[in-house]
Amino acid sequence: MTESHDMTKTLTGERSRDALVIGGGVAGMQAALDIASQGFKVYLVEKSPSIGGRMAQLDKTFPTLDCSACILTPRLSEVSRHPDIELLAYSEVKDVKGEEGNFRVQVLRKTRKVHVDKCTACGNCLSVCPVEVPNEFDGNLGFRKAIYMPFPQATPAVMTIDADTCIDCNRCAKECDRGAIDYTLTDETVELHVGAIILATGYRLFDVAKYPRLGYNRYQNVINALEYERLINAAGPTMGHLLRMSDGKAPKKIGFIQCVGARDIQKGVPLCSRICCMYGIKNAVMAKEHDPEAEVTIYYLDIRAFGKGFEEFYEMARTRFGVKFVRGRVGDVNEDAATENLIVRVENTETGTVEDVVHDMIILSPGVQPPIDLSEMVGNMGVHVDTDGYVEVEDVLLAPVDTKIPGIYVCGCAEGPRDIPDSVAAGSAAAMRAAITLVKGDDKN
Amino acid sequence: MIQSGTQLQTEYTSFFKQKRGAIRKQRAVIQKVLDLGPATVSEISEQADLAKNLVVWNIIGMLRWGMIEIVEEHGPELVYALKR
Repeated sequence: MTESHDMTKTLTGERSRDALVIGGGVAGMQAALDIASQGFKVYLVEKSPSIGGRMAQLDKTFPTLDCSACILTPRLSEVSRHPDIELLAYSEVKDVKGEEGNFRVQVLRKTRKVHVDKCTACGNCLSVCPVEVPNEFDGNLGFRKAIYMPFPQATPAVMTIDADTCIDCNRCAKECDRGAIDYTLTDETVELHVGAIILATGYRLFDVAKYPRLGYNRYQNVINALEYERLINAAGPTMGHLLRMSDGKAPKKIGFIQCVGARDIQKGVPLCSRICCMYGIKNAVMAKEHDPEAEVTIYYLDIRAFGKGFEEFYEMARTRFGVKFVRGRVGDVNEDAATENLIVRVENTETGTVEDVVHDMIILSPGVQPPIDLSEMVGNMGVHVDTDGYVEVEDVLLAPVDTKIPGIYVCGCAEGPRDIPDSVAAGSAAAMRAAITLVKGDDKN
Repeated sequence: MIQSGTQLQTEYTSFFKQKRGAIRKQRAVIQKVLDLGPATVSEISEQADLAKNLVVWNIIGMLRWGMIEIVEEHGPELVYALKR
């Protein structure tokens, strides 16, 4: 991996044998590794300061309950060490021109105000920075400084100054023995010449605050699934202890509400997000692992356990871990002001009764949506999005990673909601299609 | 792409907007309580006369910066102590 600033090429008119992958999540990393391992150069552009994507934020994966970071970290390392992958983290694609085999891409390299070749991520600067802000990586529940690394295994392992919150006190620069911090550094734009492009821009979570009746933003003990993931993670803000934000007590009666922002036409999200059932069950199992005495309930519409080992995992949650499943859409969540406990009103469609159930903590499982700027970004390339906002493919059955623009491919959740194994598989598939383009030119001939 | 995935705007996140001087005072009071020995959020809240959610917020910050540690569990609460 290199992070050099001199990558402009001037091969006007020539076909390029280099590839560009946009998005450094698990799908994008797989695509980059598979192309680079065939001997092609790959530029991997990632918007945030580190690659790793959403998977880096997860505690465990379903259905195996493997530690997410344990699987991901070697992959981060592999990308960072690969001689044919040039990582452009903290960068954004601004413009794409050209055609298959000969794309010209403008990439904005946002400044970290840190010389990446000098910073060793020693962390001395952190102790002197006086600015505390919410850590996005911890779902805004944890803390970071204005100079920060999103998580300990961040790749590249360099500090970044958040220009929005930095107060220019210069303490970090004075503390840095290596002279890595430089406030005079500015953004720059570089041009890449590539033959194929892979879109791996991932997803965003549905904003569960759009359901005010479920209490998010109104009650402190209603959180979303990503915040929950960070709370139960040993490297998270509470060092793996599940606590209520209102009083620091461990919840004993926990409720998970499924399909929040999925399969709901009125909210403009008719699509099933595919992953919520299983991550909801996984989170419920983890609640029981943390505290076997806790009462854990999942409120669901359907359980869609469609993948290998998923049905067995669901059964295990029910029978071995004792997770209670209640079929029915939750009407509303209200708070008992004295105890800050939450009262869930639900119609149990299996018994036909309306029940009020008290919980200490409620976790909303949001559906997934395409990134907010996806339509605009891919529109600049001539690529269209479908009615749900995901990248439209040439043929969902026979060309599921080809966009309608030759030379541009898509993988992971940029094309639609999918889990980690499916995202990795799509990353490899897109890499193969891109490699054919790079080797043979127009692969449709 | 790493995103917060959250729009949590509760009282908890509003604590980040406090003036640094106010935060310093809160942490000094909490530290003073913990100087007397390990304590739970409820105990700190009572002795420091700070709301429990404000104590939780400060505790999470103090854990992050290595000022305190979790030493044991006491019923549904954790017991915190100053890191020596």
